[in-house]
Amino acid sequence: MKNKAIKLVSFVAIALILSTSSSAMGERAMNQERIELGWRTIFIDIMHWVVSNIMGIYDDLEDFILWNPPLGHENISRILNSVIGILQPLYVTAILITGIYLIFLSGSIKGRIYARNLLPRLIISMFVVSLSFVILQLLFNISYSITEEILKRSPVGITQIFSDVTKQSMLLFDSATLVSLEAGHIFFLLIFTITLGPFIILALRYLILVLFTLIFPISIFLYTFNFSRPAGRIMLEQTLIWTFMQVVFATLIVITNLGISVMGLHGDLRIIAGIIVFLLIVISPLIILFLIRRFLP
Amino acid sequence: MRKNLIIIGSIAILMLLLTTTVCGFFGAWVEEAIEATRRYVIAKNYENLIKERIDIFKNIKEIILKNPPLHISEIRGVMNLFIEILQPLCVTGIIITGIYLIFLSGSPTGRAKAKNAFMMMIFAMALISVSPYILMLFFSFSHSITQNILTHAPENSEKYFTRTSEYLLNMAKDIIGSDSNPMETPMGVERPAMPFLLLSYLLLEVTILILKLRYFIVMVLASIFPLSILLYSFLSSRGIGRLLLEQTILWTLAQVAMALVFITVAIGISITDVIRTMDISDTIILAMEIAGIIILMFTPFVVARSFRGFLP
Repeated sequence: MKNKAIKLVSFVAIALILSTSSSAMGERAMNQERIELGWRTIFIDIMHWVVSNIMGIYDDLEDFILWNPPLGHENISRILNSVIGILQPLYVTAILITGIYLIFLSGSIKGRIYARNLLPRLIISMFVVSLSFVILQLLFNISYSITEEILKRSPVGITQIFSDVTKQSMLLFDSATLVSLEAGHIFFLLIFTITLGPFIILALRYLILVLFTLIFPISIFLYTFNFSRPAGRIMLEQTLIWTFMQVVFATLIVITNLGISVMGLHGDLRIIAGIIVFLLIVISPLIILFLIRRFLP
Repeated sequence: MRKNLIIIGSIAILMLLLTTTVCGFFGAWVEEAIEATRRYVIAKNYENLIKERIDIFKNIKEIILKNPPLHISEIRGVMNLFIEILQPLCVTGIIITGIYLIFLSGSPTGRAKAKNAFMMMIFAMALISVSPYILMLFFSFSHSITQNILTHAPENSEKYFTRTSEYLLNMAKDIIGSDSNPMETPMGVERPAMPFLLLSYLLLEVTILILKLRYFIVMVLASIFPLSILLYSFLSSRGIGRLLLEQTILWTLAQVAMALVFITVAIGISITDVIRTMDISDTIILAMEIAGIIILMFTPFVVARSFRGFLP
């Protein structure tokens, strides 16, 4: 009897251990899932905070598109003046040498013709270098005015499409993160790139323009002589292309907005159009650089 | 005795039950805490790496200015080896052309060609003999221009290249909550910080790598400079010689372009600090700094690619 009781108790105990073990394992799995879900939610909250901070830059988009290097700023004018200061004696020396060659040394007809052609070119080039500030300011003003006029043609605020795309992408990010954290990471990096991408390209344009502004007199100087003309041509062409790149950016944004309004795009199609304009802004400099080359003589 | 056994057995079963229950309840949390500690250690390692890179970046001007030291015996040894191999070749070429000119030149065209080749070879041999000095002169010329350009940089210009990484690092640190005990931080919050740490690290590391890449490419091209001169002096091998000489010149002068880009980025961003015609948000500055780093990264490649074909 006693033996039977012990056996029964042992059996119950084993059953109890098994059932608690399995319930404990279930509890453990539940806890793991709870933890996972908990920190996925934290991740979503953090990224919403990050993206809402980043989206603050949309307020500056129009100003940033219109922004050109301030030529009057002392840092830029100091360097530009010192570059002009270095080049002017070089010009004078080149003019003197060409003059001496023309008067005393020109033996061959070919040499004489080359020197004769070079002399007026040197004088014009020196004149143009002295007017670097005025020419650059004129270029910037023309580009600024065209861009401003284009931006005014937008039927809705130019930032609307950008903020709509980002908000919509955040919804996708939320869903992706709830499914798997890795997918959330990928979506977040995509949103980060898409949001910051156009601004990085705009910043790139601005900084490259500052660079070409500082070396503008050197570009003209190199463009004057036959042997250095290819390098001078590249530099001058790049100055012009990057100056008018803001017109391209403005056109892309305004045309997208016009297209969306005219075609009455809603929902996903509107968001796709928005993503396309994001991508176009990022790749448009490359397209322009490849398409528009060697337009200077 | 039996009673005791039953009591001990019951206690053991109870303990077992409690352990499994406790394991079930807290096992996941313990695992997560261990994971968190591991990630915390990884994040700390990243932070140290990023700080090291930021320290390296503080000497960015020196890195840009650095050219291979040609007086060092190892590099000089390679150059001398090339010179020693090429000089006899040149002498043989000169002798053969001389023999051709004196004894064998039949046609006026052949004679003119041989005369040209003769002159070119003598010229090339002279240049090969003094090639280390030509290169030294060229390096010091490039170094002087670069140094001159860098003097125009605003104060603490390096910060415009490290601030983005610092910003991303701080963002990651905020997410991790690195000042508190990793066991007490909210579970798993370290994970979202990882992309920021990686991005912050990569921005600095890739830029430093490219800056150093220029140095090594110049070192390689400097070592084979005598060979480049020799190849350039023969009509048949002028194509490859031209390519090598042009690349030597362009990669050396890339430091001038990099210095120019460095001061441009510094001035471009410092202007935004000063003017403030619009309310510039920190994110725009972040975008500008990322753009600045991108320009600096691509500068040597753009210079080496765009200004090719200037030698006759």
